[in-house]
Amino acid sequence: MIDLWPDDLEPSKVRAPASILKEQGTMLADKTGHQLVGELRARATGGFRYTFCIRAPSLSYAYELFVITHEVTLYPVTIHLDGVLCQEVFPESDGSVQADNEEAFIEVIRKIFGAARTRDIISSLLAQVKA
Amino acid sequence: MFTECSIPTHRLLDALNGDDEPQYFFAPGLCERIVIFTRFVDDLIPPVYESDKLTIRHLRLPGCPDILLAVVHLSSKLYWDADSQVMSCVELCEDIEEAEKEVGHRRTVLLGDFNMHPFEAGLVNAKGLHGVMSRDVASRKCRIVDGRTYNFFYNPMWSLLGDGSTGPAGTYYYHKSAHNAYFWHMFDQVLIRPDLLDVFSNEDLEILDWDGKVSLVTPNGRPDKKTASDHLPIKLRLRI
Repeated sequence: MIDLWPDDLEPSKVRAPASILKEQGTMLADKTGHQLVGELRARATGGFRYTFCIRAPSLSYAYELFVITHEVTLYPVTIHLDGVLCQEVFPESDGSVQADNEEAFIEVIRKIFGAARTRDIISSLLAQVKA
Repeated sequence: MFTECSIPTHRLLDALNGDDEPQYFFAPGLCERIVIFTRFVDDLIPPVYESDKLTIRHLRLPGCPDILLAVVHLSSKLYWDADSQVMSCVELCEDIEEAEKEVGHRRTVLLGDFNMHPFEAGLVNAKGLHGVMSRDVASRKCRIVDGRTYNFFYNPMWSLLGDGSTGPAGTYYYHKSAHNAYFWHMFDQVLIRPDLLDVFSNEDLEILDWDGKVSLVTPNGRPDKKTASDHLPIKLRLRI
């Protein structure tokens, strides 16, 4: 049987949202001496849907910070935030924010990570880990 | 356990404890929508997984089997359509099963405001909460659908629907001027894993219409939101 697939199949040069978040999860671990890690969990609800959690392994605890969803084409990606976080960072939105490309996604994530709510969560967990 | 309680935590704690020797403790967590008070120190009920709408606690009382207590407040039909509500139950089930895997057992009680009836898809669907109305069916623990195994919850709230049981016909009253109108809704529910059925009796579950001193309902029997809330509370006892 002849091979009907093109010869120049390659992975997309665009970084997948999940890859970006996995990297950031590892960076959180490095930054906190592995007291906290950012963890990405794929959801079974169909499509490409992931939960990003902050996990404190020594406390056996995880907090779901946000959810991302996208189609097979990676972008646009929708970021679903909880009420308090959304109010703080994207007050004009209804709980979801869309990023049309990798750059826009990174900017949204930067804002979420820098939010007071996120910092509070991290500080609380670190205090409990150290206690 | 309170969801979306606008009363500050310290005021609630003061009211619970009154002037006597404090009996109640606040069990803190990062889920701000759900507030839990206990008669034992909060160290015994640490959170293990939380989100904006969910807190899963690992209850470890000395001398008792440990259990998972999951308290949830799912989105209302005002904001989410039926499909989204089903999806939220599928994900809630995933979160619970993940926590069960971590602790190594399925002794779980799930309760809260689901904003859905016991008979709605999210509560019934095998991929959702898989809540069944019969203790006998639930005692089988799981079933296989299309080659995959799905664990049951027992949903005793089915037995409290309508006038067939004592107490109010539901936990929330809403009169809609449409062809389909339930009037009484059972949005607040308790679901119990089969592994806890031997410590749960249906007689130990009730919808409260008074708190022992004050009525929680209006003269026509509906939730009195001026006195308490537009939802009636549920009281549950597990004999662990």
